[in-house]
Amino acid sequence: MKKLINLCMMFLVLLIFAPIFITIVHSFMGMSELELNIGGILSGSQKPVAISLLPSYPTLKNYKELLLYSEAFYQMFWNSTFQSVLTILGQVIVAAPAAFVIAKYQFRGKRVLFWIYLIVMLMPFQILMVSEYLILKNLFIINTHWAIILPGIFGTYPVFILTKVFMNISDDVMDAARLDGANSLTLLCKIVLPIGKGGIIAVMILDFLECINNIETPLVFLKDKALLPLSLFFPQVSIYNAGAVFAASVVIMLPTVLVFIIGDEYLETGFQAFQIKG
Amino acid sequence: MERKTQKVKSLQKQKRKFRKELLFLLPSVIGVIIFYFIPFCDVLLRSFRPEFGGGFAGFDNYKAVLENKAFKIAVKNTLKFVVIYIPILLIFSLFLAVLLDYLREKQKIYKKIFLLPMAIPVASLVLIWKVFFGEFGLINRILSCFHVIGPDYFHTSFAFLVLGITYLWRNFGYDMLLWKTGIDAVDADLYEAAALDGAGFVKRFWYITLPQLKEMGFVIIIISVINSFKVFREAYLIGGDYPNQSIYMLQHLFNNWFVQLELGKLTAAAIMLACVIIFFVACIERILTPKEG
Repeated sequence: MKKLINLCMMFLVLLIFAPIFITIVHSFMGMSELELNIGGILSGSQKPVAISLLPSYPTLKNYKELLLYSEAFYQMFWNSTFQSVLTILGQVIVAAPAAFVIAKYQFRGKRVLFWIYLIVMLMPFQILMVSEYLILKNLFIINTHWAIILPGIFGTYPVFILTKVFMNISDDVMDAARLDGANSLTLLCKIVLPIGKGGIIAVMILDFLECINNIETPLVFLKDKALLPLSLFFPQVSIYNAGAVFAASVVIMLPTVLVFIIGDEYLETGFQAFQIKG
Repeated sequence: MERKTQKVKSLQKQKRKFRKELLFLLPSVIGVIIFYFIPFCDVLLRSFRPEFGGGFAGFDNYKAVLENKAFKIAVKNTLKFVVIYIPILLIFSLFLAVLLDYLREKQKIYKKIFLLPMAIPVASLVLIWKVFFGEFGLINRILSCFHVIGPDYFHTSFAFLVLGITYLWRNFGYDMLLWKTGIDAVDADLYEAAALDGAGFVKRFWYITLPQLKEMGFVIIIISVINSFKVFREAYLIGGDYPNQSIYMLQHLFNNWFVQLELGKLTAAAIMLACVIIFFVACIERILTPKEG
């Protein structure tokens, strides 16, 4: 029985790795080999693909081309970095105190507030896009990095998760600190944030992924091509740039994959927070 | 000791008064008001205005939307996607979580690997998906070994299937991990007691594990719904503004109405979608809201 389960799991592992692996392999192939393998897909001729598991003549040419000569890619990479870093930092700074209050204090209207946050979290961006566009225009930040960053900062998903995380912190610890004369700010900085560190890092990891994948807002709020993030990097692929596009795919996935592998433990702590009984 | 209890009492008294702590909420609340609440009210107002000029249009926009052919297609596709793939995802990932729990060994490495698809950015998938699902791609190559001639997955209604597979591929590990976290939190004593009473694996799962997973289940449903809206990204990057009709989602329609400045229709449709979401939240919020004191 266990063997059978293991077999199924291995099959799933294969399904996960196949696309990733093939992308990586192709990023090291020269043009003639790519032509031989996947030329049919790119040119529309009827030649079926042939996948080889290792490049016969591995080369770093694609990466060199991408990183040194493709200015657009370089620009987009920095746009993504800038937008993600500021959004994530802003989100944590705004969401952590709010989540702390929602999790640990009683006040009138809490239920309504949480309700609204839940709705905001679930609304697809397109519902508000017209009016959000106008607001950003009135704030004179349409078609700037801030048009992506500011609405991102006030997204309510981090508040939702962090509330759950902070609810797990025992009230006894906080009461003890209060008796020692700690005010709320000290409580937040000295107790809640350190204890909730795992959850906060989990939120940041999920945020990062969200920022990297965000195509809805840049599509509408950015007209200037020089501001677009990596998520909108999808050039017309031909046999001449296929290698570079594969290399780009690898470069784009590298940061998130690394963050996920390194932050694995924190993600699990974050997930455990969902478990708490309201 | 007495002094301590007195202090605790005075603390409790304070709870009823205005609290400085609410200032911590302020940045977040102001942001939500500016970037979400005001736009929402604006959208609501706009949905009752005529497409051109001022004045009050009543429900004209709503009528126009409901009669719109593209809207019907987009609603059908979006609904179909949610109704078909979310249950598949939930059940499949729960099944995997149970298997993993049963397996015990190697859990950690599987968890790590299964989470990986989530970390693959959409932009990285575009080209490789062409290699897999193109008319002369890998999948059809494999099918041809069994003498099956596969379709062109992107330009026929099979695109819906590709999108579904992408959604499942990306999310099953994440959902499985959440289920597994829920299963891990179930009190082990309960299982032992049940095992002593002679309850088998299936019975234990049905009567002990499943009821305790209720709350986690709702969180997973919410996350899966949010993530199901995100398949638009894959659909957009693969198919552009006008993909195959089978994956023409509400988001495509909204984007296109935005570009064509059909704001009356756009806002009316947005309000209808918002109502659906608010209704959905109303159904599940009681389970998720922290209790009010």
